[in-house]
Amino acid sequence: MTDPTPDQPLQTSEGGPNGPSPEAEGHLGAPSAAGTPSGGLGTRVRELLWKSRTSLMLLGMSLAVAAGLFFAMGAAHFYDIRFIISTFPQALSPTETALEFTTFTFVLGMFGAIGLGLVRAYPPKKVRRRSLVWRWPLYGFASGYVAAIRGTPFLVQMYVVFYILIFSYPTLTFGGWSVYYLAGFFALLINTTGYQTEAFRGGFQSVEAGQTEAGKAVGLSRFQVFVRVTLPQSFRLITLPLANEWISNFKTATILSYIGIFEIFFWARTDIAGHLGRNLEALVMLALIYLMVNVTVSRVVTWVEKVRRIPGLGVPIPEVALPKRLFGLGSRARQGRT
Amino acid sequence: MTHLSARGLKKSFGTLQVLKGVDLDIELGEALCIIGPSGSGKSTLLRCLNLLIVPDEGQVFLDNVLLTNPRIRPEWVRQQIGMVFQQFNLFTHLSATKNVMLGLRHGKKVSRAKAHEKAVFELNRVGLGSKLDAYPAQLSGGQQQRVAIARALAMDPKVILFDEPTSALDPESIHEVLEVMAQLAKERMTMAVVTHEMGFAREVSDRVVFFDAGKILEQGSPSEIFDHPAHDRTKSFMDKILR
Amino acid sequence: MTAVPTDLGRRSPPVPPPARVRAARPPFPSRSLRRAVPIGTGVALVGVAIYVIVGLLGFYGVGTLKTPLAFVLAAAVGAALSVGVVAARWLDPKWAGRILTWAVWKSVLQAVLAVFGGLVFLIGLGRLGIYRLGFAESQIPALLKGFYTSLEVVAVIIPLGFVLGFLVGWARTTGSLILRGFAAYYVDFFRSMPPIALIFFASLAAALALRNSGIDPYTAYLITQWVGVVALAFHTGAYQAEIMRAGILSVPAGQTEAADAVGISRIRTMFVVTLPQAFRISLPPLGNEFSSVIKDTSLLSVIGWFELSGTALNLVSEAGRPPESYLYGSIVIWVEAAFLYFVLTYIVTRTVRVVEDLFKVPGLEAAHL
Repeated sequence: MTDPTPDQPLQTSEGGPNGPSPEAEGHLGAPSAAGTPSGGLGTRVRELLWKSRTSLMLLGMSLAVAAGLFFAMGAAHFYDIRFIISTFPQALSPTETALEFTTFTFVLGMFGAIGLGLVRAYPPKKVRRRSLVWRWPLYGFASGYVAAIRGTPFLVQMYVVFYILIFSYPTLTFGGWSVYYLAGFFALLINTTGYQTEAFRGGFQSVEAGQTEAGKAVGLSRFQVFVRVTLPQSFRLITLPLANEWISNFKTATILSYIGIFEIFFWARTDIAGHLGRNLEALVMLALIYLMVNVTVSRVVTWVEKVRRIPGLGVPIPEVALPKRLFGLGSRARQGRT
Repeated sequence: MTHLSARGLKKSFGTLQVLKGVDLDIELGEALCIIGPSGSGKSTLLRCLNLLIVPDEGQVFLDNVLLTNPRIRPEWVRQQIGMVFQQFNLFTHLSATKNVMLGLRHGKKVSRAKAHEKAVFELNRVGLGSKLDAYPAQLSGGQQQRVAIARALAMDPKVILFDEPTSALDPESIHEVLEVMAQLAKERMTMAVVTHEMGFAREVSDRVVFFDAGKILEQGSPSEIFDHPAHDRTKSFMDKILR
Repeated sequence: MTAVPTDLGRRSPPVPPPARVRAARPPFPSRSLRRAVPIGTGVALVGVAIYVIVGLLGFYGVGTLKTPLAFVLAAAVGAALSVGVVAARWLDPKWAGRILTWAVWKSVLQAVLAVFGGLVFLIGLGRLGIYRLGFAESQIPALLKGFYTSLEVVAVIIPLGFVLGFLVGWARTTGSLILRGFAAYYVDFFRSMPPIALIFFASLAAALALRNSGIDPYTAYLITQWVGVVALAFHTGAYQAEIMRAGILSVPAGQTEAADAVGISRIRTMFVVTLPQAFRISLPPLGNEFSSVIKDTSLLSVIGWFELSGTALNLVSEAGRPPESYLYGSIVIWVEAAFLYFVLTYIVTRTVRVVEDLFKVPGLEAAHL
């Protein structure tokens, strides 16, 4: 191969001695901070913060209003705020249990979901040279599994798993967890796997066909194309649905309190509301925990998606009616600009 | 000695027969241009050559190795025969360098350092030395297609197939891509190009094939096909295109 | 002197406005009837055939199939068809054409066949001895009562949630910051809180509030029960608000601009341009949300509702069952409840599909994930 001599024909777009000509910069102009490693960490952080200034300002405002409401209502003696502040540390252990259940099932479920999602994403076609007969029952199983999970409430699923486990292995323990806890864990795992399968299936099917074609053309095997091309792109495409599924999982875990698992709802219901009779405070504490966790998670994920995503990849988030300026709003003002 | 040849390729999609028995020969170091009306099956033919589409009937030989042999791994075939797509099909989640490195690292199992070196070399070769870490969305169409060419070149293929590489480009970018391809032809890279750029076909290619309705209608040197077409169909196509 | 043409300034005689053109009504019995008869007969025949086959296979004697279901089915189909024919005669022929298309009835038929098929499958499994059919059978009447209660509750929650969701979703897209803020807080709160906590605490709060009032215990109890249902309606309202907001936002701004350019007021634009499109786009995710509502109604069992899950809980804990069937029987009861939930969800999603087909406009079909 010849050396890349400064061959005029090959390098006209990159400009002569003055460097790249402006027209050759590319449609999106200079690469954004997310793309190049230039600049120190400090400048990158500053750029990140500047880009997300609207979200940060709104988040700050919301937090301020929420905190204000909380303390105002406490001051007006709607609820006993001292009691809340003093009893809050008790929430640590049940919250820990709830988060454990949610996150472990979520992560474990991801493995099964990727596999099942793969099966569901590529239904077996009738025209096949080799008889891959085993693909039909596998596809049927995956579809039936998803339909069963999505068509039935978690309460029912939980009791089914619970009674089956009690019936078969009444004295099962594992790592300090009794059979009740294990039953709850499996039920939640089965549930989240079902929902994540659909999310992953959507992701796999949304990757452009050209990408997989190019992967094959470069000499990657089908498995490699899946691991190196389809899967990374899918994760970026379904970041928001997966986050929503985590939040949903976290909320579903409350139902586990009815088979005796000591998580947040159980604690609020029995200890605070039941034993101590402080119903309103129990609700407020429970609401605080769930609001803090869920709102934070969804805001962080939306922010991460907007700021850190690779330019050009990912489902565009509808640029919601967030005003560019915080004042002087109204649809009239917005109609003034195109 | 023919380098890449196809014999009796037939392919149908459902009831539509797209390839109706195609025999094609490409010599080593030859630049072949395939021209013809849209929908005649040129893209399908190209994809049959590197087995992205498996033909219903017929054989493909590379250096006398039967490629359509089911015992040969298709990945190996595609490492010998590179492809550049009309829609570029760059991996949008990877930078330009990583795009070029992907096939080397995971297809040919080359070490990361060597793959990186090769990727940088190829990107410089197509004139994109300053865009090594840019992502496809930050590049213009012409730049993206050049990265795609670098990606194909990095695998050191024996043949490169180009599927209408400039059809999705704006007129200014077409030039930069065609220059890269002309340089490759000058360096005696075996290539088969499906294109509508008649100027390129006339000046750069060694042989032109006119493809219509699933069959090769005519083939010959550029001056033969463009200036003295034998078939009426070729004549009417040339009239429309070259006016 | 040249004659001044006297007819130059005269206005032309007034032309009467063109008569209102009405869409031509097809004669009765119309084309729609000619389409309705074969479709209706087909569906009715299939129903009867199922009944006969199931009977021949010896499945009779199973609890609920004693009613002549096929005849009920045929009667229902006949009634629907008469309604369709009347509609064809008196309403816009476009609607007759839409209601009486094969696509719509195919969905209905598929749903019926699927439910029947599922029933036959399960009964067959029982006949094969996988579970004791007698026990499973005996639980069905009670579970069916719970099923109907679930239906009742769902029929209240969905419209309530829809109205709430529409109002809030629309509020989130208007210009007023206060409205938008309140809507945002509502959505954030009700999407973050677990529904079971909402139901439980709402009902508890109602019970406490009514404890010292003069209302008699029974009414108070009823109120606390329905407060839980309203809590669920608020919960689903938040989700539906998001769905409808996404639908409204996905209507291209150019359309509202065009309507504005033609001189249509903004409120009217909302109803005539934005909503029809937003509604069609929102239908698939709304169908998903409706099935979520059905699943969330299972949580009403914790405040004492005897809907499907509540009935199942009750049956599971019932005394008087042979002790060896305690755990095994519980599994069977819950699996039956799961099947009934599945049927309910299936019916609702199918209905939404049928509505989608009815209102379908080429180019606006949202993808079914």
